[in-house]
Amino acid sequence: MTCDTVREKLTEYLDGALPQEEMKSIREHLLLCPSCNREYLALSEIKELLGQTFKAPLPEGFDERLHEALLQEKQINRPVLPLKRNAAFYRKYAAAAAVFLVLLISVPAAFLHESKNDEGLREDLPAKAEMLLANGKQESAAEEEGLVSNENLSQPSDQSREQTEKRQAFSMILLKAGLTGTCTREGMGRLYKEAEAPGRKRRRRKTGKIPLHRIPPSGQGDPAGRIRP
Amino acid sequence: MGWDEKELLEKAKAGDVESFEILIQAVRQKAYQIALSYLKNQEDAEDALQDSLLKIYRGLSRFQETSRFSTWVYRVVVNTCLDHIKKNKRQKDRILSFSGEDREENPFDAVSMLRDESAEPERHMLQKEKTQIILACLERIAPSLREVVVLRDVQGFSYGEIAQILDISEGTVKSRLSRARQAVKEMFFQIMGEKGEQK
Repeated sequence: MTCDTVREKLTEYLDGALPQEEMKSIREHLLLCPSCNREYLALSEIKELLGQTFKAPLPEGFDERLHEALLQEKQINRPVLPLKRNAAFYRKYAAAAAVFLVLLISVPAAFLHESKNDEGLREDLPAKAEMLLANGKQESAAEEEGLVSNENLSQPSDQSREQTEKRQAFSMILLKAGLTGTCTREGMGRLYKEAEAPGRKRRRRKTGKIPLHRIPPSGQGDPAGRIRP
Repeated sequence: MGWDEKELLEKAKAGDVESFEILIQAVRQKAYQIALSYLKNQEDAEDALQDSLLKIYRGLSRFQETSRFSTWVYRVVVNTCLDHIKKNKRQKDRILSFSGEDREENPFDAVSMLRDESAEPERHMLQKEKTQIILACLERIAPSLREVVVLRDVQGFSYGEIAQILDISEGTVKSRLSRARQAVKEMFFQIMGEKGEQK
Protein backbone atom coordinates (compact mmCIF):
# COMPACT_ATOMS: atom_id res chain seq x y z
CA MET A 1 0.00 0.00 0.00
CA THR A 2 1.38 3.41 -1.03
CA CYS A 3 1.53 6.55 1.16
CA ASP A 4 -1.07 8.32 -1.05
CA THR A 5 -3.54 5.45 -0.67
CA VAL A 6 -2.98 5.37 3.10
CA ARG A 7 -3.50 9.15 3.47
CA GLU A 8 -6.66 8.95 1.39
CA LYS A 9 -8.04 6.36 3.75
CA LEU A 10 -6.76 7.81 7.03
CA THR A 11 -10.11 9.40 7.89
CA GLU A 12 -11.94 6.10 7.60
CA TYR A 13 -9.08 4.32 9.37
CA LEU A 14 -9.42 6.76 12.29
CA ASP A 15 -13.11 5.94 12.51
CA GLY A 16 -12.57 2.21 12.15
CA ALA A 17 -14.84 2.29 9.12
CA LEU A 18 -12.74 0.12 6.82
CA PRO A 19 -12.86 -3.65 6.26
CA GLN A 20 -10.61 -5.72 8.52
CA GLU A 21 -8.02 -6.42 5.82
CA GLU A 22 -7.61 -2.75 4.88
CA MET A 23 -7.35 -1.77 8.52
CA LYS A 24 -4.55 -4.28 8.96
CA SER A 25 -2.68 -3.12 5.84
CA ILE A 26 -2.77 0.51 6.92
CA ARG A 27 -1.69 -0.36 10.48
CA GLU A 28 1.35 -2.16 9.05
CA HIS A 29 2.16 0.78 6.77
CA LEU A 30 1.99 3.27 9.63
CA LEU A 31 4.45 1.22 11.62
CA LEU A 32 6.92 1.38 8.76
CA CYS A 33 6.28 4.96 7.47
CA PRO A 34 7.17 7.78 9.95
CA SER A 35 5.67 10.50 7.68
CA CYS A 36 2.31 8.78 7.41
CA ASN A 37 2.44 7.94 11.11
CA ARG A 38 2.96 11.65 11.98
CA GLU A 39 -0.05 12.53 9.86
CA TYR A 40 -2.06 9.85 11.58
CA LEU A 41 -1.05 11.06 15.07
CA ALA A 42 -1.86 14.67 14.18
CA LEU A 43 -5.34 13.74 12.94
CA SER A 44 -5.90 11.60 16.02
CA GLU A 45 -5.15 14.56 18.25
CA ILE A 46 -7.54 16.78 16.32
CA LYS A 47 -10.26 14.16 16.57
CA GLU A 48 -9.68 13.82 20.30
CA LEU A 49 -9.72 17.58 20.86
CA LEU A 50 -12.90 17.94 18.85
CA GLY A 51 -14.47 15.26 20.98
CA GLN A 52 -13.93 17.44 24.03
CA THR A 53 -15.89 20.41 22.73
CA PHE A 54 -19.59 21.17 22.98
CA LYS A 55 -20.11 18.88 25.91
CA ALA A 56 -22.28 21.23 27.96
CA PRO A 57 -25.15 19.63 29.88
CA LEU A 58 -28.72 20.73 29.27
CA PRO A 59 -29.54 23.99 31.07
CA GLU A 60 -31.28 23.66 34.42
CA GLY A 61 -35.05 23.65 34.21
CA PHE A 62 -35.07 22.78 30.53
CA ASP A 63 -37.39 19.81 31.02
CA GLU A 64 -39.88 21.87 33.02
CA ARG A 65 -39.92 24.66 30.43
CA LEU A 66 -40.33 22.16 27.64
CA HIS A 67 -43.15 20.43 29.51
CA GLU A 68 -45.00 23.74 29.85
CA ALA A 69 -44.46 24.54 26.20
CA LEU A 70 -45.72 21.11 25.17
CA LEU A 71 -48.85 21.47 27.29
CA GLN A 72 -49.51 24.88 25.73
CA GLU A 73 -48.97 23.40 22.30
CA LYS A 74 -51.42 20.64 23.10
CA GLN A 75 -54.01 23.22 24.18
CA ILE A 76 -53.54 25.33 21.05
CA ASN A 77 -53.68 22.40 18.67
CA ARG A 78 -56.64 20.72 20.32
CA PRO A 79 -58.79 19.26 17.56
CA VAL A 80 -61.84 21.39 16.81
CA LEU A 81 -65.14 19.78 15.94
CA PRO A 82 -66.07 20.47 12.34
CA LEU A 83 -69.67 21.29 13.37
CA LYS A 84 -68.45 24.13 15.59
CA ARG A 85 -66.26 25.49 12.87
CA ASN A 86 -69.12 25.34 10.40
CA ALA A 87 -71.44 27.09 12.83
CA ALA A 88 -68.91 29.87 13.27
CA PHE A 89 -68.38 30.01 9.56
CA TYR A 90 -72.11 30.37 8.79
CA ARG A 91 -72.94 32.60 11.75
CA LYS A 92 -71.83 35.81 10.08
CA TYR A 93 -73.70 34.93 6.91
CA ALA A 94 -76.82 34.18 8.93
CA ALA A 95 -76.51 37.58 10.65
CA ALA A 96 -76.14 39.35 7.30
CA ALA A 97 -79.15 37.49 5.91
CA ALA A 98 -81.22 38.41 8.97
CA VAL A 99 -80.35 42.11 8.57
CA PHE A 100 -81.26 41.95 4.89
CA LEU A 101 -84.60 40.29 5.62
CA VAL A 102 -85.47 42.85 8.29
CA LEU A 103 -84.70 45.68 5.86
CA LEU A 104 -86.64 43.96 3.09
CA ILE A 105 -89.74 43.72 5.25
CA SER A 106 -89.53 46.91 7.31
CA VAL A 107 -88.85 49.48 4.59
CA PRO A 108 -91.95 48.80 2.42
CA ALA A 109 -93.98 48.30 5.59
CA ALA A 110 -92.93 51.73 6.80
CA PHE A 111 -94.03 53.28 3.48
CA LEU A 112 -97.37 51.51 3.62
CA HIS A 113 -97.87 52.54 7.23
CA GLU A 114 -97.08 56.13 6.37
CA SER A 115 -99.44 56.26 3.39
CA LYS A 116 -102.14 54.58 5.47
CA ASN A 117 -101.74 57.22 8.14
CA ASP A 118 -101.95 59.88 5.49
CA GLU A 119 -105.16 58.37 4.14
CA GLY A 120 -106.53 58.35 7.65
CA LEU A 121 -105.60 61.99 7.97
CA ARG A 122 -107.30 62.76 4.68
CA GLU A 123 -110.47 60.95 5.66
CA ASP A 124 -110.64 62.41 9.15
CA LEU A 125 -109.55 65.85 8.07
CA PRO A 126 -112.91 67.60 8.51
CA ALA A 127 -113.41 66.05 11.93
CA LYS A 128 -109.85 66.85 12.98
CA ALA A 129 -110.16 70.38 11.68
CA GLU A 130 -113.21 70.85 13.81
CA MET A 131 -111.32 69.47 16.79
CA LEU A 132 -108.38 71.78 16.11
CA LEU A 133 -110.70 74.74 15.84
CA ALA A 134 -112.32 73.82 19.12
CA ASN A 135 -108.86 73.39 20.75
CA GLY A 136 -107.77 76.74 19.34
CA LYS A 137 -110.71 78.39 20.91
CA GLN A 138 -109.93 76.72 24.20
CA GLU A 139 -106.26 77.72 23.96
CA SER A 140 -107.10 81.32 23.18
CA ALA A 141 -109.40 81.33 26.15
CA ALA A 142 -106.65 79.82 28.30
CA GLU A 143 -104.11 82.33 26.96
CA GLU A 144 -106.37 85.07 27.99
CA GLU A 145 -106.47 83.55 31.45
CA GLY A 146 -102.63 82.97 31.41
CA LEU A 147 -102.90 79.21 31.88
CA VAL A 148 -100.91 77.98 28.87
CA SER A 149 -98.36 75.38 29.96
CA ASN A 150 -95.01 74.38 28.41
CA GLU A 151 -96.60 71.20 27.05
CA ASN A 152 -98.26 73.26 24.39
CA LEU A 153 -94.84 73.99 22.90
CA SER A 154 -94.74 70.45 21.58
CA GLN A 155 -97.80 71.02 19.41
CA PRO A 156 -97.25 71.02 15.64
CA SER A 157 -95.86 74.25 14.21
CA ASP A 158 -96.55 75.72 10.74
CA GLN A 159 -93.56 73.89 9.30
CA SER A 160 -94.67 70.49 10.51
CA ARG A 161 -98.17 71.21 9.21
CA GLU A 162 -96.70 72.02 5.82
CA GLN A 163 -94.77 68.76 5.89
CA THR A 164 -97.93 66.86 6.75
CA GLU A 165 -99.72 68.47 3.85
CA LYS A 166 -96.92 67.57 1.49
CA ARG A 167 -97.00 64.01 2.74
CA GLN A 168 -100.75 63.95 2.18
CA ALA A 169 -100.29 65.19 -1.38
CA PHE A 170 -97.65 62.58 -2.00
CA SER A 171 -99.83 59.78 -0.67
CA MET A 172 -102.66 61.09 -2.84
CA ILE A 173 -100.39 60.83 -5.85
CA LEU A 174 -99.52 57.29 -4.94
CA LEU A 175 -103.18 56.45 -4.41
CA LYS A 176 -104.21 58.01 -7.70
CA ALA A 177 -101.40 56.25 -9.52
CA GLY A 178 -102.55 53.00 -8.01
CA LEU A 179 -106.17 53.57 -9.00
CA THR A 180 -105.58 54.88 -12.51
CA GLY A 181 -102.73 52.54 -13.28
CA THR A 182 -100.38 55.41 -14.19
CA CYS A 183 -97.41 53.90 -12.54
CA THR A 184 -94.99 54.75 -15.34
CA ARG A 185 -92.40 57.45 -14.95
CA GLU A 186 -94.27 59.85 -17.23
CA GLY A 187 -97.59 59.16 -15.56
CA MET A 188 -96.12 59.78 -12.12
CA GLY A 189 -94.46 62.97 -13.37
CA ARG A 190 -97.79 64.22 -14.64
CA LEU A 191 -99.43 63.47 -11.33
CA TYR A 192 -96.67 65.33 -9.48
CA LYS A 193 -97.17 68.38 -11.73
CA GLU A 194 -100.89 68.27 -11.16
CA ALA A 195 -100.31 68.06 -7.47
CA GLU A 196 -98.02 71.10 -7.61
CA ALA A 197 -100.40 73.15 -9.81
CA PRO A 198 -103.83 71.53 -9.85
CA GLY A 199 -105.51 74.17 -12.15
CA ARG A 200 -102.90 74.17 -14.87
CA LYS A 201 -103.57 72.11 -17.97
CA ARG A 202 -100.95 70.07 -19.64
CA ARG A 203 -99.63 71.50 -22.89
CA ARG A 204 -98.64 69.44 -25.83
CA ARG A 205 -95.03 69.85 -26.63
CA LYS A 206 -94.24 71.62 -29.92
CA THR A 207 -92.46 69.29 -32.25
CA GLY A 208 -92.20 71.59 -35.32
CA LYS A 209 -94.34 69.24 -37.38
CA ILE A 210 -97.64 70.41 -38.82
CA PRO A 211 -100.60 68.20 -37.94
CA LEU A 212 -101.96 66.27 -40.94
CA HIS A 213 -105.43 67.81 -40.81
CA ARG A 214 -103.89 71.26 -41.14
CA ILE A 215 -101.93 70.51 -44.29
CA PRO A 216 -103.98 71.66 -47.31
CA PRO A 217 -104.21 69.57 -50.47
CA SER A 218 -101.64 70.40 -53.13
CA GLY A 219 -102.32 73.64 -55.00
CA GLN A 220 -104.66 74.97 -52.33
CA GLY A 221 -103.77 77.62 -49.95
CA ASP A 222 -103.46 77.39 -46.30
CA PRO A 223 -106.83 77.67 -44.58
CA ALA A 224 -105.24 80.15 -42.27
CA GLY A 225 -104.24 82.29 -45.27
CA ARG A 226 -100.63 81.29 -45.30
CA ILE A 227 -99.15 80.12 -48.58
CA ARG A 228 -96.65 77.32 -48.67
CA PRO A 229 -94.11 77.18 -51.49
CA MET B 1 -37.25 0.26 16.47
CA GLY B 2 -38.46 -1.60 19.55
CA TRP B 3 -42.06 -2.21 20.45
CA ASP B 4 -41.94 0.27 23.28
CA GLU B 5 -40.77 3.07 21.04
CA LYS B 6 -43.55 2.26 18.58
CA GLU B 7 -46.12 2.29 21.33
CA LEU B 8 -44.79 5.56 22.67
CA LEU B 9 -44.86 7.01 19.18
CA GLU B 10 -48.48 6.02 18.71
CA LYS B 11 -49.43 7.63 22.01
CA ALA B 12 -47.40 10.74 21.27
CA LYS B 13 -49.02 11.01 17.86
CA ALA B 14 -52.37 11.01 19.63
CA GLY B 15 -51.14 14.03 21.63
CA ASP B 16 -49.86 12.36 24.81
CA VAL B 17 -47.19 14.71 26.17
CA GLU B 18 -45.73 12.23 28.65
CA SER B 19 -45.09 9.62 25.96
CA PHE B 20 -43.40 12.25 23.84
CA GLU B 21 -41.19 13.29 26.75
CA ILE B 22 -40.09 9.69 27.29
CA LEU B 23 -39.34 9.39 23.58
CA ILE B 24 -37.06 12.40 23.52
CA GLN B 25 -35.30 11.63 26.78
CA ALA B 26 -32.56 9.66 25.05
CA VAL B 27 -31.92 12.22 22.34
CA ARG B 28 -32.37 15.63 23.92
CA GLN B 29 -28.83 15.84 25.40
CA LYS B 30 -27.16 15.10 22.10
CA ALA B 31 -29.64 17.32 20.30
CA TYR B 32 -28.72 20.16 22.65
CA GLN B 33 -25.03 19.71 21.91
CA ILE B 34 -25.71 19.78 18.20
CA ALA B 35 -27.66 23.01 18.65
CA LEU B 36 -24.82 24.40 20.75
CA SER B 37 -22.26 23.51 18.10
CA TYR B 38 -24.26 25.47 15.54
CA LEU B 39 -25.34 28.44 17.62
CA LYS B 40 -22.42 28.80 20.06
CA ASN B 41 -24.71 30.20 22.70
CA GLN B 42 -26.51 28.33 25.44
CA GLU B 43 -29.67 30.45 25.34
CA ASP B 44 -29.98 30.26 21.59
CA ALA B 45 -29.24 26.54 21.66
CA GLU B 46 -31.97 25.99 24.24
CA ASP B 47 -34.44 28.05 22.23
CA ALA B 48 -33.58 26.16 19.05
CA LEU B 49 -33.90 22.82 20.79
CA GLN B 50 -37.26 23.72 22.27
CA ASP B 51 -38.48 24.98 18.90
CA SER B 52 -37.29 21.77 17.29
CA LEU B 53 -38.98 19.54 19.84
CA LEU B 54 -42.25 21.48 19.54
CA LYS B 55 -42.05 21.16 15.76
CA ILE B 56 -41.48 17.44 16.15
CA TYR B 57 -44.41 17.12 18.56
CA ARG B 58 -46.66 19.01 16.11
CA GLY B 59 -45.47 17.03 13.11
CA LEU B 60 -45.32 13.55 14.64
CA SER B 61 -48.10 12.37 12.36
CA ARG B 62 -45.81 13.08 9.40
CA PHE B 63 -43.03 10.84 10.77
CA GLN B 64 -42.79 7.99 8.27
CA GLU B 65 -40.90 5.54 10.54
CA THR B 66 -38.67 4.60 7.60
CA SER B 67 -35.73 6.10 9.51
CA ARG B 68 -34.91 6.08 13.19
CA PHE B 69 -36.77 8.51 15.38
CA SER B 70 -33.51 9.87 16.83
CA THR B 71 -32.09 10.56 13.36
CA TRP B 72 -35.26 12.46 12.47
CA VAL B 73 -34.99 14.51 15.65
CA TYR B 74 -31.35 15.45 14.95
CA ARG B 75 -32.23 16.40 11.41
CA VAL B 76 -34.99 18.72 12.60
CA VAL B 77 -32.59 20.22 15.15
CA VAL B 78 -29.96 20.88 12.47
CA ASN B 79 -32.52 22.51 10.18
CA THR B 80 -33.93 24.62 13.00
CA CYS B 81 -30.43 25.77 13.93
CA LEU B 82 -29.75 26.73 10.32
CA ASP B 83 -33.00 28.72 10.32
CA HIS B 84 -31.97 30.43 13.56
CA ILE B 85 -28.61 31.35 12.05
CA LYS B 86 -30.30 32.78 8.99
CA LYS B 87 -32.70 34.80 11.08
CA ASN B 88 -30.23 35.92 13.64
CA LYS B 89 -27.29 37.67 12.06
CA ARG B 90 -25.87 38.26 15.49
CA GLN B 91 -24.18 34.92 15.14
CA LYS B 92 -21.60 36.58 12.98
CA ASP B 93 -20.45 38.58 15.96
CA ARG B 94 -20.08 35.50 18.07
CA ILE B 95 -17.26 33.92 16.13
CA LEU B 96 -15.04 32.37 18.67
CA SER B 97 -11.64 33.74 19.04
CA PHE B 98 -8.75 32.54 21.08
CA SER B 99 -7.82 36.08 22.07
CA GLY B 100 -8.37 36.74 25.75
CA GLU B 101 -10.69 39.77 25.40
CA ASP B 102 -13.14 37.99 23.14
CA ARG B 103 -13.17 34.98 25.39
CA GLU B 104 -14.27 37.03 28.36
CA GLU B 105 -17.08 38.70 26.44
CA ASN B 106 -18.24 35.54 24.76
CA PRO B 107 -21.12 33.84 26.59
CA PHE B 108 -20.13 30.52 25.09
CA ASP B 109 -17.14 29.49 27.14
CA ALA B 110 -15.39 26.54 25.58
CA VAL B 111 -13.35 26.03 28.73
CA SER B 112 -16.41 25.13 30.73
CA MET B 113 -17.11 22.36 28.26
CA LEU B 114 -13.94 20.49 28.92
CA ARG B 115 -14.45 17.03 30.26
CA ASP B 116 -11.11 16.38 31.84
CA GLU B 117 -10.55 18.87 34.62
CA SER B 118 -8.82 16.52 37.00
CA ALA B 119 -5.38 16.77 35.41
CA GLU B 120 -2.59 18.81 36.90
CA PRO B 121 -2.83 22.62 36.39
CA GLU B 122 -0.17 22.94 33.66
CA ARG B 123 -1.52 20.16 31.54
CA HIS B 124 -5.04 21.42 32.16
CA MET B 125 -4.08 24.91 31.00
CA LEU B 126 -2.53 23.54 27.83
CA GLN B 127 -5.60 21.44 27.16
CA LYS B 128 -7.84 24.48 27.60
CA GLU B 129 -5.71 26.45 25.20
CA LYS B 130 -5.79 23.67 22.62
CA THR B 131 -9.55 23.38 22.86
CA GLN B 132 -9.95 27.09 22.31
CA ILE B 133 -7.72 26.90 19.28
CA ILE B 134 -9.69 23.96 17.92
CA LEU B 135 -12.93 25.90 18.31
CA ALA B 136 -11.38 28.88 16.56
CA CYS B 137 -10.25 26.62 13.72
CA LEU B 138 -13.73 25.12 13.46
CA GLU B 139 -15.16 28.59 13.05
CA ARG B 140 -12.85 29.28 10.17
CA ILE B 141 -13.73 26.31 8.00
CA ALA B 142 -16.73 26.17 5.70
CA PRO B 143 -20.06 25.48 7.47
CA SER B 144 -20.70 22.45 5.25
CA LEU B 145 -17.40 20.93 6.47
CA ARG B 146 -17.90 22.05 10.05
CA GLU B 147 -21.28 20.40 10.50
CA VAL B 148 -19.96 17.06 9.29
CA VAL B 149 -16.92 17.07 11.55
CA VAL B 150 -19.01 18.17 14.54
CA LEU B 151 -21.57 15.43 13.96
CA ARG B 152 -18.82 12.83 13.61
CA ASP B 153 -16.11 13.84 16.07
CA VAL B 154 -18.17 15.72 18.63
CA GLN B 155 -21.41 13.76 18.57
CA GLY B 156 -20.09 10.43 17.35
CA PHE B 157 -22.67 9.75 14.64
CA SER B 158 -21.93 7.13 12.01
CA TYR B 159 -21.45 8.09 8.37
CA GLY B 160 -24.89 6.74 7.54
CA GLU B 161 -26.55 8.73 10.30
CA ILE B 162 -24.77 11.93 9.25
CA ALA B 163 -25.88 11.32 5.67
CA GLN B 164 -29.48 11.00 6.85
CA ILE B 165 -29.34 13.98 9.18
CA LEU B 166 -27.81 16.29 6.59
CA ASP B 167 -29.56 14.66 3.63
CA ILE B 168 -26.36 14.02 1.72
CA SER B 169 -24.68 10.85 0.47
CA GLU B 170 -22.25 8.80 2.55
CA GLY B 171 -19.55 9.48 -0.02
CA THR B 172 -20.04 13.21 0.50
CA VAL B 173 -19.86 12.69 4.26
CA LYS B 174 -16.51 10.90 3.93
CA SER B 175 -14.97 13.45 1.62
CA ARG B 176 -16.19 16.42 3.66
CA LEU B 177 -14.99 14.82 6.87
CA SER B 178 -11.57 14.19 5.42
CA ARG B 179 -11.29 17.77 4.13
CA ALA B 180 -12.59 19.20 7.39
CA ARG B 181 -10.12 17.30 9.56
CA GLN B 182 -7.29 18.17 7.23
CA ALA B 183 -8.21 21.88 7.29
CA VAL B 184 -8.56 21.98 11.08
CA LYS B 185 -5.30 20.08 11.52
CA GLU B 186 -3.34 22.46 9.29
CA MET B 187 -4.75 25.55 11.00
CA PHE B 188 -4.30 24.10 14.45
CA PHE B 189 -0.64 23.21 14.04
CA GLN B 190 0.08 26.48 12.33
CA ILE B 191 -1.34 28.42 15.30
CA MET B 192 0.39 26.15 17.79
CA GLY B 193 3.66 26.65 15.91
CA GLU B 194 3.25 30.45 15.98
CA LYS B 195 2.48 30.37 19.68
CA GLY B 196 5.53 28.20 20.30
CA GLU B 197 7.75 30.65 18.42
CA GLN B 198 6.37 33.58 20.48
CA LYS B 199 7.25 31.80 23.70
